[in-house]
Order: sequence, then C-alpha cells, then structure tokens
Amino acid sequence: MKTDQLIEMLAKQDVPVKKSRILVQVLLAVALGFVGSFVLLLVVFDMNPDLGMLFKNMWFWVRFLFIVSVGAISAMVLVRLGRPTDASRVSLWLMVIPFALLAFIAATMLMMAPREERADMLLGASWDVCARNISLLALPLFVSAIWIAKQFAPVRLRVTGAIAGLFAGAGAALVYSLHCPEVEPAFLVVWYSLGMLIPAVVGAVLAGKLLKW
Amino acid sequence: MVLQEREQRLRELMLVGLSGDNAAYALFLRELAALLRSFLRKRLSSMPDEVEDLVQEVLIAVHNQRHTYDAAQPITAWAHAIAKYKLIDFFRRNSRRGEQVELDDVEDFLAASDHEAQDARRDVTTLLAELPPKQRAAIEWVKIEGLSIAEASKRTGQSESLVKVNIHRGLKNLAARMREPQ
Repeated sequence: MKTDQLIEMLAKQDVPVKKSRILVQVLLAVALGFVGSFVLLLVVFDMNPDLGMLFKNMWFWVRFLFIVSVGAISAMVLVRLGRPTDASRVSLWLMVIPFALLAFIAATMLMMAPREERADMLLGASWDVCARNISLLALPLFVSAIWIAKQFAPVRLRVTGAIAGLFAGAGAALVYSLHCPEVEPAFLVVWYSLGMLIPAVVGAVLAGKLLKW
Repeated sequence: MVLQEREQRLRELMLVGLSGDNAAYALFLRELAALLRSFLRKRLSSMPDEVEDLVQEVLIAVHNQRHTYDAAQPITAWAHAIAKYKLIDFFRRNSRRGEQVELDDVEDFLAASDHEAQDARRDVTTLLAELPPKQRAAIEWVKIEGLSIAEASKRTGQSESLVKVNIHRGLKNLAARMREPQ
C-alpha cells in the first residue's frame, strides 16, 4: 500500500475521538482496580475490627493524607507522561514531597522518643509482612494502571511504568489501611513506602515489554 | 516566519480534522508525511529503503494516538515526539543501540519536507489481511470502502460502538504488527 493510500484510509470516516469516552474508560479501570484490590483484602486479610476507633486517631488521618497524596501526585504525573509532548515537562520531583514530609515528621518523633521505644515505632507489630501485603493488593490496580497507560502514548516507558506502579502501590496502601492498624509515621515511611515502591520497581522493569506501542 | 506558519497551518488542519473534517485531516497527514519523510531520510541515510516503512508506521501511530494531542501544545512538538519515539524504537529493534538519535529541536523537524514517496517494503494491505476477521471487516467496510459507521454496523451485525472499537483495535494491532521483523 502506498503512503497516499494509507493516508486516505486513515482519514476515511470516524476520525473524531470523544475525550469523554476515554475519561470514562480510565475512571472505570481505576474503579475496577480498587474493587479487585478490596475483594483481595476481604479474602486474604479482612477489615480491621477497630477501624471505627482509629478514625478518632489523628495519625490515621496523617496516614490517609500521605497515601492519597502519593496517589494523586502519581496520577497527575501519569497524565503528563501519557502525552508525547508533555512527557519532557514532567516534574518528577513532586513525587518526593509526601515521602519527604512524612520522613521529616517520623525523624522528629523518633528523636523525641525515649531510646527504648524507637525500635517499636519503626517496626510496629507487622513490619515483616507490610510491604509484601501492600504489593499483593497492588496487583489488580497494577493491571488497571498499565492498561490505562497503554491507552495513551508514553514515550518514556521506564518512568511511566514506575509511576504507574507507584499509583497502584498507593491505591493498594489505601485499601490495606482498612486492615492495618499501624499509624506510626516512622513505620509508615519505611514499610508503606517500601510496599508502594515494589510495584513501582516492577513497573519500571516490565515497562519495556508492557508499554511499548 | 515560515516555520510558525507551518506549525499554525498543521495545527489548524489537525484540529479541524479531529472535529470531523476528513479532507482536512487527510491534508494534515499528507503534510506531516512529507515532514516525516525528510526527517527520517536524514537520520536513516545508511538504510534509505526503510524510510517509507517508518513514515507509514509513524503515520499510523499518529492516527492511533490522536486523542493524546492537547490543543494547547504545538502540533509539531507532539508529532516530533512520536516520530522520535518510533525512530529510537526502530534502532532498538534493529539492534543498533550505538546509533545516536540527535536531540534536535522541533524547528529542525519543521524545516524541510519531502513529497517524493518511495515504495514501502512492507505492505500494509498484507498486514491488514492478517488481522482477526472482525477487525479486518470493520476496517475494510469503513476505512477502505468508506461506509459510515451506521452502514457498517448494519452490514456486519456489530453494534455501532463495536464497529468503532474493532477499527481502533485493528489499527492498534496493525501498528504492533508493523514492529515485528519481516
């Protein structure tokens, strides 16, 4: 087929695209990812029976804000990475903000705490399973995030895969926080961050295969 | 300035095209093809036979990704980013990692155009024939025969949105097949 014929073919009928339709698809994919992650939570971990009491704990809401801001910033960055033109103007450093803030709070609290309490603050009761559990819950959201990224045209595949993974990790952390009673900043900044970073690394590693177009 | 005029004209053709003017869209693709040809010919000077194939590959990519164009951005920066991505991908596929893709600016992309198309080596018609039957049928009726979506829907028994989805999937599939070694 000659290039002129190809152009004629591409330009025939049905050229306009409905952006609203794409938005609906994206939101639907995110919703499905959350449903999948939540079902996984119910099957594997169950909800925290004392969740109602945690609502009154300020640190529960700090945790909530931390997770949501990681998710929101990664979603924002992901939108930019999906457009070939904007990909070079992405402010990746924004990603660091929630981690840096929480690390600052955690460090301050650790310094002010008596020496013998510090290990407990860092390790809580579930340090050994936290990151693994979050990564597991991230699986359905990871599929959603990669699927969404594939609907666009990322030109920086590795970074896009990492941010998609981070988004999945943040979503999973949000779901996991319905089960997990740990709200100590020192615990969160280490183990929650690790749990979110694992899917991000997986995303970066698999990006070349999963996202190429 | 000439370059700015080119940018403006391309952008207008694209936007009018996306709003439903197929002739404008075709014109946009034709002018873009000429820019691409010149851009790629310069960078593939050692393998001139590959140029037209890659022009076609980028055109299909541009079409498949047309929803990622943000009207607030220059159209040439967008198309240039796609062309560069496809060129790097091409080098990688042909295991020429050493090949440097110059980090030229967008003005360079606009500077020259080339309307002399050579024959592509890879035949899109053949690739189309290898698509799954439903996708192939949707593309054949609508994109080649020129039936409206409604007419194609009647003829194939697929719902209108399914016809659209099949066209979209078929063209994405086509793009993927173009990346495969021949």
